[in-house]
Amino acid sequence: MSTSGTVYIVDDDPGMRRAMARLCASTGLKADTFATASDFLALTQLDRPACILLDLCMPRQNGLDVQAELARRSIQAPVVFITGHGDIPSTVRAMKAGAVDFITKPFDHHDLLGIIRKALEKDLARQTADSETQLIHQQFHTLTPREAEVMKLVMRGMLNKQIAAELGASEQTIKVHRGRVMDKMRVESVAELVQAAVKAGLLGK
Amino acid sequence: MEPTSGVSEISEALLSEAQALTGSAHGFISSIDPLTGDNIGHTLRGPVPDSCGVNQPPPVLRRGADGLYPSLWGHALNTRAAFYSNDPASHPVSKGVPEGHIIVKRFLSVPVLLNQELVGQIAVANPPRDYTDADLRNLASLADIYALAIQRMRFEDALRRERDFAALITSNAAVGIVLTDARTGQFVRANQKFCEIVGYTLQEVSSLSFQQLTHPDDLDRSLEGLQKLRIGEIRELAMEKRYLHKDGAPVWVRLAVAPLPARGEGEAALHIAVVEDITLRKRIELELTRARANLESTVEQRTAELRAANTELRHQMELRRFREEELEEAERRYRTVADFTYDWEYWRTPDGTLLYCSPSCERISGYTPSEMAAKPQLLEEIIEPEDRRIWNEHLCAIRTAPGPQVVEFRIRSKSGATRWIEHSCQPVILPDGQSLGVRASNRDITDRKNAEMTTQHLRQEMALVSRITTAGQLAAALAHELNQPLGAIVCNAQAAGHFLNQAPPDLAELYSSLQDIEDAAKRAGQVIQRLRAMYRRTDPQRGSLELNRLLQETLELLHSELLLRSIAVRTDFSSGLPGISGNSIELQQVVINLVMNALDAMTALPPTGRQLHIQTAQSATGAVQLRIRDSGVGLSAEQIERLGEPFFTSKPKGMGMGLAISRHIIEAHGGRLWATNNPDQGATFYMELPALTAKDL
Repeated sequence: MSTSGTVYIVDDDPGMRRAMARLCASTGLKADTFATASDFLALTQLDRPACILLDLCMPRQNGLDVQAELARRSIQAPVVFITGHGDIPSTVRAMKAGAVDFITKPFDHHDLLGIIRKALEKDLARQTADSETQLIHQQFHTLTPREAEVMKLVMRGMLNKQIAAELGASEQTIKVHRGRVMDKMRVESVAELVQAAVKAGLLGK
Repeated sequence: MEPTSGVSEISEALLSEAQALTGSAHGFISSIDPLTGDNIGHTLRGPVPDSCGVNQPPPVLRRGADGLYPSLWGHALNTRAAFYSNDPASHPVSKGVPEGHIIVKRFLSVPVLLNQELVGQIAVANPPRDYTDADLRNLASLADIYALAIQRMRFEDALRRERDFAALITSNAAVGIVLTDARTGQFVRANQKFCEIVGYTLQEVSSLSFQQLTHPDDLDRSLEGLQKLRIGEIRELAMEKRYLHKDGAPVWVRLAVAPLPARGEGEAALHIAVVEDITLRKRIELELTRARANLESTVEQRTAELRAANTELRHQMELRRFREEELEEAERRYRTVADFTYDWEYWRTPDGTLLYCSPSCERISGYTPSEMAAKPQLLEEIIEPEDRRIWNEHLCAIRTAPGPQVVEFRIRSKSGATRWIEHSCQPVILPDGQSLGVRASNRDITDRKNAEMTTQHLRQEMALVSRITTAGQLAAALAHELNQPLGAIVCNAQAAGHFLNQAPPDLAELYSSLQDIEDAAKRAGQVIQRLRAMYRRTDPQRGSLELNRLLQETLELLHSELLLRSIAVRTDFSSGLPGISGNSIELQQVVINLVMNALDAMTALPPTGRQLHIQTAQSATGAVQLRIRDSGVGLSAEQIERLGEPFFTSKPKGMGMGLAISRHIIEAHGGRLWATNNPDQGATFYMELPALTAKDL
């Protein structure tokens, strides 16, 4: 097991905080503990990959409030909720809001470490995906508006002649634009171009 | 005026001559007293019947108020003319002869005149023949001789008096004697004593008048008196008056003034005064008068005091008699009351003797009053052994704090039944501090006690039901509370496994994991214990508690519930609060009830608005106070009013028992539970308990 990353633990119960942090440390994970939601939210930068263990039931700001605030800040680190029995409605709300998992105290049927690991892997994967998308976006942003227009029509499966007619340009000019798009986006084929665009979510643009 | 012996001899001789000349059997000769005018008889001669009022001593013919002399006897005196009658019975003046009087058959009377002044009478009667004018002439001649004799006699008298007076005046008399000119008041003569009284020499006195010597305030009175003396209204003036001493000081004198008839004159020319110095007497009199006045006022005052005292005494006596009667009546009345009283009354003297024991003693204890009286320690003996301590403490308390005392204990009656007694007693102490023992009343409160115990039992059962209900309501929270340590245990155990598996094993980390496991397990155990306590029947034992600590523990128990309900709790515990005496389970139940009540009131609010503020403080009266303030819906006037009534609830799911039980618990602790609405929002519940004092410890 060589999962690495930082576990952020937010729990008002000192015993629980210590126990979870110790468990993480015992497997080589870095753990950072917070007694209140506001202490945690005071952080400006999170390590990656990261996993956030949020006690659902806390005085003042509870786990759901923290989750909402993270979403507002576009922080996409995976959140694992720790719940007790009897607060199923809150758990449902948490899952709908994008929590990766939840675990019920006293963890009798659950493997907290397993859940943490899964969450970290997921974050790592997301981190990787994020960097590819970022590259595609960077490449896409080097295109001239004309080239971007050509690329959009190419991805629709149109021929150079059809694109030239659509854009009111010569077939030769379209051919030059098309070559530049393929270069700038670093793809060999139209299929690759479409794949990258889907991956980066450029299809709607 | 006593006739002189000389005149007597002459009058005797003249009368003998008159009788012989006229052959009269009876003869009478008299002289007129110049002061009174009475005709004083000197001699009456002739046979006299025994019963006659005119025999010895010689008769006196009084001059009447009209200046006239009575009867035929006085006729000549009145007319100043001699006359005779040979038939006196038929004379117009005659009024008949009184019985036993000398029978006068013939009568001849001649007045004796000296210079027109009537000075005497010569009368004869009862000759053997009739009187004639010749007889009349003869007797008139005799009367002239008699008048001359009287004149001479008067002259001699005056001379003698003058002589006597001179002697008197020159004598060293003890009283002052003075002669004054009757008209001018000029002093004519004075004796040495008078000079001493007024302080002037004899020579000086002679140049003064009595008017000059008399104190001005007394002059009018003196002149008035002298005037009366002068006109003959009085014969002698006696008065007390003041002279002025030569040195100007008033001198009180008593004087008697009498006229000295001057020879040959109708009016007295001189006044003789006898003067007595009474200054000393006057002073004594004055002092006496003053002393008497003092004495009188003192006596009067004493009399008044005596009278008041007497009245008071009489009043007291009446009151006392009335009181005695009243006492007897009261005695009868109170004995009747005592005998018929439903309670067992008794009065025990300091030596333990039973002075009184009411008949109810038998109804309650089974023993008769005489059995009780025969064995004074019987009451102590029938007290149930467990309660003897109460009795002994009570006996001590009576001795140290005299005053009414009430204790409750059980006795075993003669039939063996246990009876609850409410014993109240008071030492009987006279105002002078003497103790008359103890007056006590024993009331049979067995029925009340049984009812109380039933009620108490029911209340305890209800409190238990309420706690169990609360525990049920708290189940989720308690599970959560339990999950915390359990979760910690699981984590720590897994970590411990990892540390053990490391090569080499991290023993330090392993050890602290195990320690945390132990702590968490203990914590879990506490949660379980608290839960169990809620299900337990309470024993009524109370102990010394700290409210802050009790609250802390209770809030730990409620921690998860508060979290689950998203309640923001603020606590403000006053440090240095005095302790309280109480049952921790019961008081915790009250606090839980109050907090749960507050939470329920805030259910409808958004989570951010759910504010719970818990405060402790010491009230102005020194009591320990808990305030639980919520931001909920508040209370209606009816809710505040009916707070703590059983089955009164504002909660749709509530039983209405929580606050009723809470209130009962607090009141049983001697405290108070109440609620008010906050000015802004929500309500505040107050719980107040008496502070422990040094005495309670």
